[in-house]
Amino acid sequence: MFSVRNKLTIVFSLLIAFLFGQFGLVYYFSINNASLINEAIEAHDASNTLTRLAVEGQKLRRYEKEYFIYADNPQKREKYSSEWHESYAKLKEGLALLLSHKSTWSESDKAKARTWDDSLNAYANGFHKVDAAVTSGLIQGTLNANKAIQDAKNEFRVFLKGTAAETDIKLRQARDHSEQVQDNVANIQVFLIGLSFVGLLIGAVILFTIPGTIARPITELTESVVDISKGNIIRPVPVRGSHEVKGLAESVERLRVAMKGLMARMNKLQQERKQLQQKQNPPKPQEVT
Amino acid sequence: MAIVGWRHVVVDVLAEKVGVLGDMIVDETLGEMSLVEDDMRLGLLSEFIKKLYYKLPEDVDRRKLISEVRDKLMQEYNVLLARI
Repeated sequence: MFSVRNKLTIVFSLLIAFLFGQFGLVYYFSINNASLINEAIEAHDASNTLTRLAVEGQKLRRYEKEYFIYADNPQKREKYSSEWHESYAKLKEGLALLLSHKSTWSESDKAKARTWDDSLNAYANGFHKVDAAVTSGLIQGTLNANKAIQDAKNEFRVFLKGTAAETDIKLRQARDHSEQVQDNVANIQVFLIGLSFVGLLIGAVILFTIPGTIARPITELTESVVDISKGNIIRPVPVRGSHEVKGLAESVERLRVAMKGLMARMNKLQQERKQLQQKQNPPKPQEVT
Repeated sequence: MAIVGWRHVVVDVLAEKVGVLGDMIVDETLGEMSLVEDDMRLGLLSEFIKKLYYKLPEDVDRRKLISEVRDKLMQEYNVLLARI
């Protein structure tokens, strides 16, 4: 039989273990979610950067087209050449940032970025050559200029297709991570609801068993002691309950047995004394008148 | 030869179940046998235990208690006592 101290120690240890387990689970999910959220944000940022690069690449192509449309108009040609160079500078800057970034971009991402950079350089070289030829009058007319830039444009497709495809990949990654976060949150909810039920169950079991097992024997013992104090020494004291209560009940039972024995002996002595007195002083016979 | 300290051994075992009554029961049993504490011999122990059995209150497990007394005495004095 457990002592009250052991019972309470076991119950509170169970509760602490339960709470510790609950804390561990919530902590694990929180850490996991925080890392997934970071990854989702990074993938989303990467997809934004790539979108900007892809858009800037399309702008570059548009300026090139505008440039060739006005191949025979030096003023407009100059304007679109300057816009093309501005856009080109932005692309170079964007790619340089991407290549220098440490955490967001993996090595395979950077390898892809380097191929895009090569593609952009090849296209820029082609454009500069055609620009020089158009400016010097070696190439005249939109169609001729377009023909001359064809190889460089083909080279630039690597950049345009690559950034578009990578944007999709990064967006998908961001979406996957956010879906995982949602799944984790749903799992946490299920776990927490489950654990709350288990906690309620443990609480209910403790509530309906422990106080009773501690208090019931004490109540019974109190009743027995009250009975004995009132002179009712027939009923044996129930010896049950926790270690401490059992020890106390055994002591009270010992007292009851001793008291009963003593009272029996006292009664016997009294009876013997009465009989002795009667023998010594027999009742006087009544006089007959 | 008288046994030394036997009363203490018996009263100790009895006190576990009947408290102060143990001492009184031992006195009554000795009285019935017309003995005093110092008269107790090894040969009288079995008879003493037998009489003690009937003096014990019914509220306790008399057989068990007497068995404990007997075992304790055999252990203390290294003697063999008859079963009740």
